[in-house]
Amino acid sequence: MIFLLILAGGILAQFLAGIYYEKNWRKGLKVEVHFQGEPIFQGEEGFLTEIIENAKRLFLPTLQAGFAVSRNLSFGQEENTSVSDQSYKRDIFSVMGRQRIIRQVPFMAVRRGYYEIQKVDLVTRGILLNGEMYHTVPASTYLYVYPKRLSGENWEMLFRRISGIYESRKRLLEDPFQFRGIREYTPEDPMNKINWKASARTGSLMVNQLNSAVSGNVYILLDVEDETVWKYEEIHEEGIRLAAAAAEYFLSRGIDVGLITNGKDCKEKSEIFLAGQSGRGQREKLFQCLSRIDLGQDCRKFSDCLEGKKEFLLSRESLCILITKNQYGELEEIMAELGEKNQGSVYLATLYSEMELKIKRKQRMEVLRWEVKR
Amino acid sequence: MKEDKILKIYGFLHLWLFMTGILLLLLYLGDGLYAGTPVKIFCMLISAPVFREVSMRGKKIWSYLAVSFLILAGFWLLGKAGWERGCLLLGVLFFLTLFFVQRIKGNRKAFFRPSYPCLLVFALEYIFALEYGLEIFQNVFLVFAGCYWLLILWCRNREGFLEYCGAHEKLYRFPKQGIAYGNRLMLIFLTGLTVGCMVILPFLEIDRGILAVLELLRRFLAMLLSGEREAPEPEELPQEDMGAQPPFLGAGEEPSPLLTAIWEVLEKILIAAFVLAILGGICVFLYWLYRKYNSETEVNGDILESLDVSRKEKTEKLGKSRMPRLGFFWGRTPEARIRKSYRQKIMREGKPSAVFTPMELEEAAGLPEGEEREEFHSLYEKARYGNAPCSQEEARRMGELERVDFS
Repeated sequence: MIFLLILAGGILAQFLAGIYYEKNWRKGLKVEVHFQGEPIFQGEEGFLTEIIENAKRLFLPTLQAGFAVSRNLSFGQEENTSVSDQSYKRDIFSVMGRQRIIRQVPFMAVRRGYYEIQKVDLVTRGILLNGEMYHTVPASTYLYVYPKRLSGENWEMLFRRISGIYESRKRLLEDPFQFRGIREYTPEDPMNKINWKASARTGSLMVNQLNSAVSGNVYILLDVEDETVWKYEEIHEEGIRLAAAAAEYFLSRGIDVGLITNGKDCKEKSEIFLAGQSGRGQREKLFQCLSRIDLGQDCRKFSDCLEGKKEFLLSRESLCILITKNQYGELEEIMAELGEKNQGSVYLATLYSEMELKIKRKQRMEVLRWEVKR
Repeated sequence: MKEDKILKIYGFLHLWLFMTGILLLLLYLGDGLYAGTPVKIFCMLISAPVFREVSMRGKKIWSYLAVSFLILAGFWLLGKAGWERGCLLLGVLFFLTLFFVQRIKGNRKAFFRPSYPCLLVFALEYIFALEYGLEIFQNVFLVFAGCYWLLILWCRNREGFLEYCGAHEKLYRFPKQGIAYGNRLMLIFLTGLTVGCMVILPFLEIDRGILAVLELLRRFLAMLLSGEREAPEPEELPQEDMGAQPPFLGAGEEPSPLLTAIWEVLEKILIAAFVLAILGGICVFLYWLYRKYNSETEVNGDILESLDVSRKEKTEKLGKSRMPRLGFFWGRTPEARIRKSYRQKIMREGKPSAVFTPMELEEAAGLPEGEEREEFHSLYEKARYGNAPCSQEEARRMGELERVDFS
């Protein structure tokens, strides 16, 4: 009988220890995963912080914390990450009693987007390192990866042309009540602009300079629709980059910038529209909108989208910059109309080098080409 | 894969403990136990790793045979008398054969892992010692069994640790040292707890309690199986214990025939229930065994697992939203009387629409405007919507207004 009792003692000890561990390993265990506070640009490095806090005396020899995040965030340590539809990252900790472990994990933002982590899965081993116990902790952290910054000679040339259009457009409609200054007469100036009193005083012909009556707001019209089943994701991504760069360019000069696109929000699943405003807050909003565009979703024809917004654009006399790869008649007509009525518009076609630019320049509609590298 | 040193040590200890128990019994039976015999048996612990290493590293059988011969000769010389020599050589031959079989089978881990079935050997040895009244051997086998249990625990833990590290070691920042430290602490804690339980449990005299329960069960079963309906002769209770008898049966008094009949029926029901419960238990156990055996089968390379029936989900019923209950005397309160009078006066002209306001109700009832209607209206509003309680005077006044024709 004593023999049996000794064995029973062994079984009882193992059973009690196992039950105690199973019941208590989760108590006082806090797991937090969060991205850095500031957004990053595509191609830049960010970091993720994992905090494991064990507020009880019972220690956990092994604790695996795993979470899923978009595979567009590339974690350097491939061993800890398995990539399929998402990146499944797991890290192993050994947590002593009343201990907090903070681990920072660097990553590279491969693509722009809005990334979230919604839960963390915890796995620990039993008291003899056999058997597994699971627990899921909700998490709420997100990161915006803004579109990549454009640079280079081509980019500068393109924006010199766009800013030229913006500046020249201002002179087309001068407001006779907004006096800006006086300058010397040039043969191109009409006779009615000559300030006769100033000419008499100076002894040479002088003309008045007036401010523009055209409002200084710009709307970026971003078309991410694929007309055929063939997907031109890289072209659309380049278009998004161009839109971000153009927005930043105009906002840095204090000009109101808005965004109209047929791209859908990755969370809300609705078309994105951002009313024109200026300032630093607008830059962040605009970049966030561009980051959240989900190219995987179906989007409607951009000409239909513009039809609905045409009155709005005409009423605001906006300079419209269309960024698209599509070249069809309806879109061209709408842009021509907007250019005619708002004293200028830009049709910026983003194309591969072998693609032909079919749209012709109109009187008030400038057509530009931006070659996308494969 | 490189073998773990600690696991190797556990393996040697397992073999040695296993063999030592048997040798001790054999030595006792042959009267071959002397003062130095335990030391000689301990020396056998050294022979096991030698056999193992030679069997694994030696390229030809000759090296193994040579080493075997040397060790056998050594233990032959160590033995004092014929029986002791024979037992020592038997132990060595056990190791020799074991590692030889391992080598030819190519399975290095065979027989090398402490396992629970081996405890049965210690149990048999203990029963043998118990039967022949060998107290020292009883204690030795108890200690061996306890140590062997701990050895199984440590071995399982080590295997778990190695398996875990092997699966995750390549991970970036894998805290192997931390895990080893935590695991060690956990093992120390578990060892302490196990030893504590093993020591304390026999001292709690649970065995006596269990024996008493078993004795009771035995008697009960004996009574059932013998088929005796008559209760056994009641034991003579001391005089002071007689008071514990049921009050309805006096000392030496015959039970009433009704009570006897009820008791007999109850007895039959209880016996039937007991037998049915045992049969049911056996059926459930057999079904469980069947399910367990067939729970996992391999068909065409696929593993087919039968799923357990999902238990019913726990649902929490929400309490019914109750309307505030009105008290029993609510109908006699001034507010209730006022509202009743109002309803009666309004209903005289027929049932009005349910969505009317009091003012519209009065219009629909054709009450002409005036001071009385205003009073009538205000009293109702106070009773229906007001926060202040109404007085008996107001209720009486409402009763009068109900009877008055406002025109």
